[in-house]
Amino acid sequence: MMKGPETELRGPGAGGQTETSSVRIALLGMIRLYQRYVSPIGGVDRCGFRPSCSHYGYEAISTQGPVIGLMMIGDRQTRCTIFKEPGPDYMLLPGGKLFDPVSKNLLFGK
Amino acid sequence: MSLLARRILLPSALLLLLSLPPVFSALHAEGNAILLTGDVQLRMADAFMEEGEYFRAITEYKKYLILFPDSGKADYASFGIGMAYYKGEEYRDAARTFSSMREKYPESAHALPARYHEGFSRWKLKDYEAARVTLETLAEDHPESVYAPRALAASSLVALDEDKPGVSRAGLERFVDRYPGHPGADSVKTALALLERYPDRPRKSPVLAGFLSAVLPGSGYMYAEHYGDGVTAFLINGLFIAGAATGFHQENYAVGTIVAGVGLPFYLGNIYGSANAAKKWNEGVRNEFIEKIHLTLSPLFEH
Repeated sequence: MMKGPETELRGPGAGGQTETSSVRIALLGMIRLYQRYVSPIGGVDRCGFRPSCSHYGYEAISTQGPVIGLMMIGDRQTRCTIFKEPGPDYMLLPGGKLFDPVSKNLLFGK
Repeated sequence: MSLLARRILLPSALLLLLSLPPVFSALHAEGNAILLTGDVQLRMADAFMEEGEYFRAITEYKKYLILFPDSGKADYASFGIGMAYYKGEEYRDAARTFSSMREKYPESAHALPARYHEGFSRWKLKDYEAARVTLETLAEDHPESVYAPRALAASSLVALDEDKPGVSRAGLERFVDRYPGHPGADSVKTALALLERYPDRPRKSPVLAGFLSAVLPGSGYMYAEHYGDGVTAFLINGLFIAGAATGFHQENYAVGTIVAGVGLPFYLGNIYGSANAAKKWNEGVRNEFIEKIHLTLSPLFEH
């Protein structure tokens, strides 16, 4: 029996936490706007990773704060190319997407 | 119509009913009557276990415990439940079942294998310290048992997963001292030799990777052998830097600032990602090393 990854693949990352930083709120709002109005224009589900880049960014900013979160988004955007293949760094999920959660890219511990 | 039904269908039904008892009695006479004994119930559970139907096996073992609570094989059934959970990869339930089985039947012949598998279940759950302690104490309390050398080797592997190579080495050395004639002693010696090289395994510095990418975007990824990411980072950051520089050079400060602002997360992300790539590279080497030691010791755990 195959068991799925423990981390939530999609959905809001903060787990219902109340945001207090205005920069964080602004960045999260921008990501939500992108998800609602910009992303659907080119067709849904184009990102090769899971969670998708926007969900990854949302979770990164929610959990790591705006500074580290932005760095993680920059890193993910650099890595998100069509040349990525499954391997030790990226587990292949049943839907053909590569598993790359925030928790696997934390430089400073968990 | 109803008259017809009464005259034809009713007698037919009566005839059919009259003919049934001999049929049933013949079946009863020819077939084997089933008398559900404890042994039959256990055989049924064991059969499911052998077929790999672990969760049905659990049901049958539990039925045995309910139907025959005072039998002499309740310890065996409890152990069977634990093993079915273990083989069904439900390690939390397996550990809980083995633990309660050991507590309930401390004198049982299955208490020792239950302890051994409890250690393995905790290991699978990544509860490393509890797993190591369970396996180590088994090896210390019952050094003459068949499970002791295996538990000692397993506890060394758990220590390695905990990133405690010293504890792991001590466990393997104890194995060699205590069981020099064991068939797995040569594997343990090979693992010890591998473990000697563990501190000298190759490493990449995350600090150096970050520094390199700060100086020349993408070079840190290259250093960490993530060549594709290195090229992408170089191109993206190169374009942003060129765009911002052109904007400022043409005294178009607004455009220069916007381009630099958008490019800044990519530049910082390139530093962060390079350091992280080096960290992942180190983890990959470490995991490969541990995998080698696991493979070397794996013949010890084959039944």
